[in-house]
Amino acid sequence: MRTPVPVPEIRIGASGHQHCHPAKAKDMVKIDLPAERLENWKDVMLKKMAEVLDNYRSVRLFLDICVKCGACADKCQFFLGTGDPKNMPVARADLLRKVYKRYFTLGGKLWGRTNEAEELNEAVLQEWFTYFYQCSECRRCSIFCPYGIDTAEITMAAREIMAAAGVATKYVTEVVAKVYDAGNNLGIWPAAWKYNCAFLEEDLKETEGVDIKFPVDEVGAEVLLIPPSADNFVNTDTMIGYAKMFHAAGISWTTSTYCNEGGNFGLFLNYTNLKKTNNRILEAARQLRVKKIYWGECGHAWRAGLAFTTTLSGAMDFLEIPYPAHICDLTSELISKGAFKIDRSANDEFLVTYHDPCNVARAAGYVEPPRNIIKAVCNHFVEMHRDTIREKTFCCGAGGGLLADEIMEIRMAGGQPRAEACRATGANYLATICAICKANLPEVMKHHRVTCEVGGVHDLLGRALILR
Amino acid sequence: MMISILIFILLPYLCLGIFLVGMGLRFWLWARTPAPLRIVTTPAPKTRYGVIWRLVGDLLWFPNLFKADKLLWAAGFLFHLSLWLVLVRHLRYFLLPVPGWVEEIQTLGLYAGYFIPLFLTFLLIRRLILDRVLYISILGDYVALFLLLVITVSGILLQVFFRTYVIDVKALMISLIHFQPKIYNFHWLFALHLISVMILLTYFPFSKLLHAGGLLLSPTRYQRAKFEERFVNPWDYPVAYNPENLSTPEKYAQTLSGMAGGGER
Repeated sequence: MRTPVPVPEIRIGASGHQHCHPAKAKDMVKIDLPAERLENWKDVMLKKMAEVLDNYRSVRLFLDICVKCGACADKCQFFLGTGDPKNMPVARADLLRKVYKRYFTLGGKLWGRTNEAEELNEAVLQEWFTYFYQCSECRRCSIFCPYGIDTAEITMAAREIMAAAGVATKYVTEVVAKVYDAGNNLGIWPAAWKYNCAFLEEDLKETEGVDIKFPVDEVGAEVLLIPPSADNFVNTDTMIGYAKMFHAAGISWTTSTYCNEGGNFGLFLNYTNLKKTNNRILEAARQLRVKKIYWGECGHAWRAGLAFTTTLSGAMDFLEIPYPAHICDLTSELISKGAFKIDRSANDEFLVTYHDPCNVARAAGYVEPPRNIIKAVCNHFVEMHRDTIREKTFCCGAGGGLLADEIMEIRMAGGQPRAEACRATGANYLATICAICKANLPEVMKHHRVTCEVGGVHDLLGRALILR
Repeated sequence: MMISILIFILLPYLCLGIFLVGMGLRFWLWARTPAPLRIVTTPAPKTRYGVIWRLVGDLLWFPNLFKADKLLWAAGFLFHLSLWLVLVRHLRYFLLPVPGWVEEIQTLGLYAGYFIPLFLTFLLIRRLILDRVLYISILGDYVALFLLLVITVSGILLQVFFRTYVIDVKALMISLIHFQPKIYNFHWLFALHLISVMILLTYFPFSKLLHAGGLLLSPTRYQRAKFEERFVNPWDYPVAYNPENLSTPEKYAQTLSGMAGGGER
């Protein structure tokens, strides 16, 4: 097992000072959580914990069977980057496990601290708030654990328990609240979304002389595209890539101002908001009477979309098979059918490498389609070290609700293994299909002085497509 | 006499009882707890056969650990393999007549047993010298290693230096199995061997030793990546928007119908 950065010696408390800002009351109210930390937070949390233990086999089992072999310890980018032992997946789970032992196991009740059991108190809660928001739920540890213990399940459980008592972070709750107001994580209002789409249309017409539509709210379109909202605002080249692809393939498509976001931040908070956010996708599809839904270049979106949609939001049989489907499925299929005229030399200035977003690669086994597209539209492609790609990929450092500015140190530390793996290839374009990766990795590259542009896969396609 | 009854008759029944009931309860608790979401990890099997293969692989040769840490894998794998060989070898004290395959494995099991303390010592030393593993180690981790060391070392001593009269051992076991316990005279070392096994059995359902078998119910390992099939959460509940939320299905329907109306005019 090669690690791009040396495994650090443990430095106790090294990242203990890095914690997210607490949630604001106005956001908490919008997402059905207590406005502030409850008076009886301890009782509420223990009650919620009992509920979680009864509802999630994963949590109960993982808390019971860990043998503390330490195989996961040096697999977490946040431990590799910070050296803080509480960022080792096993130690992170221990934060929950010690409270579980104290209140829910015989050994913990009888022998207390000698059995690693601990009361739930203010100090423990502070620790939870710090370290469960230094985990990006990337699940890299789970594929190295002999029992498949998935620390993301533990982190999600702890966050759910805290949220019930009114303890959450500003960034995550703010994003979820924005979805229920504006339809997306960035809080782009419907009018602004339409304006941005119109702007992209004009821009393309001016620069390339082609009439390419960016349809919004078109009832009866064939395809509903669920992009991350950042594609409309920041990563516009990715959006242009989608639009060119649909245009070249002659497929009618639309985005929806009710659900112009795939990224599901409910995943980082609690079940209710996970479900509520995900439901919006199928609701938009029904109202727009589309035949297909394609998820855009977004990591967490695709985990929720692929693995959870039928569970959370009901059967998808009102759509055409195959479902759930990712935009890269469509694009790579069309490419292999020869549907496009492609000029690979348009990307000749790039030596491209591909960063597997954790949720896409590990939760969905989705590793080939993006690579197929890149290889079809670029002449120069190189893989990073095999221990850092596909299901062994590293997190960009800011997934799971960590893309908050106040924990920049953690984000840069967590991104370090990816930066070093990228540096080793000499690539000057890091392609990826996740909006959070696209937001954090440029910062990470700058911080670690790796000269590499970060962009989407459809950006590359958009450059290489010949439209006339 | 009283001590003998306690150690060789009451203790085994009691400890085995705790072990069986404890394990049963634990598995029942896990099994009755629903797995609400599909949390497979790549590469996940798509079929039931695929799942069986994956679990058999996980049980037999620990592929995830192999990916993670070769040295730890080697020690862990050899330890578990040796332990199984020794356990199977011990069947000759419980079965009458002794099946041929148990006879055949005797020598192998014997040598495997000699190596177990080495593997255990390696695991213990690793726990003590790797700072990150030392950090996560708790009393229970040492208790398990210590008990296993006592069991295996006493077992080896019984085999090599303090040869026990195995006919009596077998007679005791058979008498226990048939619920007609009889008392025999044993060396104190055999008593230690037996007692430490009994403590381990008692400790088993309440400790990390539960990893044996718990693996079979680990959702990330047994679930299938059959995403096109609907996966139902038994405790799912409806969710609703609150008056604070501006973007609701009803409002979106109004927006869309408003637009359609506008288009027609």
